[in-house]
Amino acid sequence: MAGMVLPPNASPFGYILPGSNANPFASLLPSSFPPGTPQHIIEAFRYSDKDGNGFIDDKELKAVLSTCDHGFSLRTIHLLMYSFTSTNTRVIGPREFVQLFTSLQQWRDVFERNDRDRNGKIDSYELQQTLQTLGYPVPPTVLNLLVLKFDKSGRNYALSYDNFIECCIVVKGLSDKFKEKETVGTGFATFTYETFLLSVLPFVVA
Amino acid sequence: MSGYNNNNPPPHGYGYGYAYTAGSGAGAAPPTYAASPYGAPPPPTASPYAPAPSAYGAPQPYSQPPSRPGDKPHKHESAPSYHGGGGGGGGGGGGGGGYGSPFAALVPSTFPPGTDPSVVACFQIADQDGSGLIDDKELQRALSSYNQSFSLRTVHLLMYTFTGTNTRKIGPKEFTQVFYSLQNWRAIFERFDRDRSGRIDASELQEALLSLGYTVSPVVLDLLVSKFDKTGGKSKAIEYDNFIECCLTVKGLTEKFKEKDTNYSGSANFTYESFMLTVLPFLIA
Repeated sequence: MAGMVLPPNASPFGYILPGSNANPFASLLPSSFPPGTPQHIIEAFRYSDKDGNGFIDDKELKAVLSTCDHGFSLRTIHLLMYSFTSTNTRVIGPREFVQLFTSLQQWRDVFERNDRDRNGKIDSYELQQTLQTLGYPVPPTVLNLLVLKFDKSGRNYALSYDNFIECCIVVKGLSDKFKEKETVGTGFATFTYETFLLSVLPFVVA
Repeated sequence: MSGYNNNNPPPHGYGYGYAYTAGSGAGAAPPTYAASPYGAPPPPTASPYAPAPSAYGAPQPYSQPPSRPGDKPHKHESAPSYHGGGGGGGGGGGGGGGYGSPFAALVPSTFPPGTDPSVVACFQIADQDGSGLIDDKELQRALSSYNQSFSLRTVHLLMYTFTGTNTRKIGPKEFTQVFYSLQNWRAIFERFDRDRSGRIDASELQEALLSLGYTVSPVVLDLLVSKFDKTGGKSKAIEYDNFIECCLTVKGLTEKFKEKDTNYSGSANFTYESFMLTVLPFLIA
């Protein structure tokens, strides 16, 4: 932007220019498929919407994801829905479905690209690379904690595909909250007590 | 907005109130201290962060058995009330909490001298594989025996509170702390379940958290109740084990937040790393 002096960039996410998220009224429009949505996603939505009400609820989403080899718990489904709607609603419309679907595909692609030995697992180094590629510069201390939390096998050294997806959901969700409150380019986010609790509790308690 | 204290609007800039309940706190409205971030620093006794006597790691609540120990979670009106922030949670955020010596955490976990024999007996009953340590499943089994199902998540949170680590095993020392803190939680739960419904609703929760020293806004309360309600929001009330989880979570997150709020202003700054490290331990999967 001409004439704008940006502060020295200390943000781990790069510059976050105010207003860089397009239309502020986007969330008020009824949820519909954005122009150019690939046909297979539209069909996946229609297939998932078993009761045909135009929305996908948590049970429908859980069911359809299980058919794509995603054995998520209902709790993870709720977390997923929360990440893409920022509300506690248990239904999503076409727009959120597209975002969700696209993210899952993206995470899957990145997972497969980084699982070089094809053993279906990602270790903590590969996890760091993967999250970096997805736009989340997670430091090593946090990585260790992530592997500890999400490696359900208990051996704490690598994540299976499903665990990786759960990990991505949480990292995305928390990172987005952080970015919302980050003072541009400083690397610091300021929270009041209330906003801290409101931002964090939905993830802690999903 | 969070930070309201009994109808007194907080001074500008003050993020949250801290209701300090001294000693018994039975029924009396707790005095509230809204410290101004401007001007002279508040006197130590009025500071919202001043540790209550017998809280935050002082040995007394944890090394002495209550006057009538008896069995596990039973109503004991005579049990001492650990209020003012010490609550039933870990001494100031886990770790070796509860003992004066900084080396306490390095000493192998044993029963402190003078531990009530019934606590020792409970430990031995719970330790079904005789390993000398109680793991999460054994603890869950032990706690679930009183017509009360105890979720594994609450067990993990309890273990985290008293060890400061993600270990899934505790020794005699931590077990003793868990034991007494659970008695305390039971007392708090029963005290605030005024209508004896077996569940705590939003207003009862507000009072319970207030008695522990935490003022949360109605918005946060609603969020807590809806998240911890086992029926998924229908009954708008939480049961005993989730109540413990709820209080431990609020307590834990608030302590972490306060660590970063060095000016007592109600606002805290986090780096990306510190934010993630603060929050992730509470994600008990």
